[in-house]
Amino acid sequence: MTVNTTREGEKLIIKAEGNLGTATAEDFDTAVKKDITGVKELVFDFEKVGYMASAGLRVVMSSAKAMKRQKGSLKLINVPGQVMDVFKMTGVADVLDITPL
Amino acid sequence: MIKKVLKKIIPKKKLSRIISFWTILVFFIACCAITEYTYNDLFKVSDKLANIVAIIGVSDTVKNIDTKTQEYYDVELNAEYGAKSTEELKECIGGGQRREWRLSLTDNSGVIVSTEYEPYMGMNVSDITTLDSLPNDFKTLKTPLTVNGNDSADGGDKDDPTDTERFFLYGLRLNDESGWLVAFVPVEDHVRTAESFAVSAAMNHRVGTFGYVFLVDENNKIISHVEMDKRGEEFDHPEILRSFDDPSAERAEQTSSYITEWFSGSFCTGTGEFYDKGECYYAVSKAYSYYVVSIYPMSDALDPLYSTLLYTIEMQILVFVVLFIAIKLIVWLVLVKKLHSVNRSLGEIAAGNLNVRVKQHSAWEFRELSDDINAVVDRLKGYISEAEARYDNDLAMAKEIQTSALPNIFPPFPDRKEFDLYATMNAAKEVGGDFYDFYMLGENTLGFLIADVSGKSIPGAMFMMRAKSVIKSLAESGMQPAEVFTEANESLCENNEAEMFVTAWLGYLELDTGVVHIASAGHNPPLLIHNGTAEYLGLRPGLILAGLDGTRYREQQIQLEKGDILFLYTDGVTEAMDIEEKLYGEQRLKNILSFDERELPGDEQGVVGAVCRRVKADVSLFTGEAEQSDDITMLCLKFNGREKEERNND
Repeated sequence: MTVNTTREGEKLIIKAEGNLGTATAEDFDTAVKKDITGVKELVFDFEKVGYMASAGLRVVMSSAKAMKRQKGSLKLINVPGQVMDVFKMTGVADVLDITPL
Repeated sequence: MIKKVLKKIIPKKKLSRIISFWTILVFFIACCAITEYTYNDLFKVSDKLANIVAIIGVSDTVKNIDTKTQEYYDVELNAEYGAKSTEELKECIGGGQRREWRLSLTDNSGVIVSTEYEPYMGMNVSDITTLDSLPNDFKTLKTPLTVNGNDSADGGDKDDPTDTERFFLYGLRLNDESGWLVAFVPVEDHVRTAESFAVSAAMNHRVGTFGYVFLVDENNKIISHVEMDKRGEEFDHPEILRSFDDPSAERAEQTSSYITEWFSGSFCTGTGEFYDKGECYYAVSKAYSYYVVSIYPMSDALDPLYSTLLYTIEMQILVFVVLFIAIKLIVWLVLVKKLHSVNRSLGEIAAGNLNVRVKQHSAWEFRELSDDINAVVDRLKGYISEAEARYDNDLAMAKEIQTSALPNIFPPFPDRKEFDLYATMNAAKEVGGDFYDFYMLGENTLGFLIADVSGKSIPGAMFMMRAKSVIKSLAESGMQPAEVFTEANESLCENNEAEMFVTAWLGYLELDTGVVHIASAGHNPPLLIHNGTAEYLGLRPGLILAGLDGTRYREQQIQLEKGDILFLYTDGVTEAMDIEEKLYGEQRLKNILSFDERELPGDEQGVVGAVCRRVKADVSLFTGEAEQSDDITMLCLKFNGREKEERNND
């Protein structure tokens, strides 16, 4: 799991690469929490994410909550089909701003 | 303040740097001290030597003047009278001379027997005649002799214009050895002669490289100087001449036998500025009526001091550099390298390898350090294994609690013929978050639930227990599934710091009609097996529980027909992985669930148990050697419908 973070003012773009499994989701969570302070616009680029387990979904949900708390927004872009299925099944696709690949 | 400065100066990083810093500091101080000490010592020696050099300058000059003067009279006397016999000399004495010298003849005992100047007759000048002979049998009396009877001199001799009473005596041995020819040289004459040599003697004498000797007469006028234009000038340091004249002035010691032999005079020494030579050492003495002054420039005198000092400093720096390199090397070898090795071991230990031993026994301190570290690691290992054991215990207990919280007696409602129900949970190694539940809600309704908490271990298990009991109590309070989830979501969103969530699927089966009221909270869609064909329920999913507060869930319905089977599962089934991390998948699940019921061996739980076992077996076949990573939970419900007789019985 590789995480690339780009900051443009109040916008934070985090590119995840690899599987968001039970173990790797923690790395992703750490990477997000490290830089989220003061961010108004958080973007997850999931183009290179192969598979997402519930632990990964948990990071997405907790990030969404954190952004809601600091009155910012969370956007997921380039979400591959398999991951999109998870978002759809869990109903998350209806409540978050998600753009499929 | 000092601490602050030191903090800034001392490098924070490396031990070797700190040692280097202090080494340099100590060496610097030592260098300064040695240089200072050497300078003081050398200065004392140089000072003394410079004084001696100045004195030698003076004494050499004086000796030179004296020698030349004596040579002059020696040569003159010999040239004039050396070849003459005693008889001829007697004639000479009688015959009058062009010289101012008063010639006399003595016998061997030193008594004057013949003289140009009558009053000397019978005078004993054995002072000179008994002196040791010089070469050429020439003798001289250095100290002027005062001759008595000068009072009567005015009347007598023809050639005595100055009417002096003081003479230098020069003696010449007579050829027939019958006595001595003694010349009385008036002091004035002698001094004049000496002075004619003094100028050149002083002129030609150098002191050191840049120093020189010059003469000053009693009127404080310079009469001899290396620089011609200085001649005739007033000497601008008359005080040093006065101090020489002052008998109480401190005199220089007579520093060599040479000085004592030829010149019994004394010297005054000191330092002062002379002309363009700057600060100089000087020495002053007197020859006849002249003061002889030598100056020795300090720059000249101290030049060897500075070059020696420079050499000393160079040597110190060289020694320091060599020592510094040696110290650095030694520190590196005996300290830093060893510390690095200890640090490497510590690094490995910190990275989690508790089996590393620190083996650094080169010095007592390192042995102590290594032993201490090893002891700490050993104790840590003990604690860890203890903690691990306790944790494993706790986990096992949590797992047991979790498992025992799930209903596990099948058939659960043996007197209910309208449905068959079977559920199973195969927990993964860790305590998982899956659960199922079912309960009769009144006479006509069966509530059944499957759920998956997004969290493992003890927190996951606790959240699962919480979700399970919340949902059950809400369901039992008479709410419909959608209401149950809406309320449960609110409740679970509270105090959810761990930010866990639950996917859940809740159904209420109306036993008389076969209608199922459904609420889905982000859970995997169940399969409906109708006439041996399995299809996923195409229901609209709701949001996971505990995801966002304020979420409202909608109820959906399906109609079951007699013989229909509902299969609920968690993602532990569809996301089971084989050794190559391929997923079991929804398609394969659907395929395995499409079967002819007659081929399926039933048992006491009926077909529902067989369905669960069939799926489990297929999943196991798929995963093969791979370790089960998630709980595998299934709930299977078969709707049998209600018999007419039973309905009549009701």
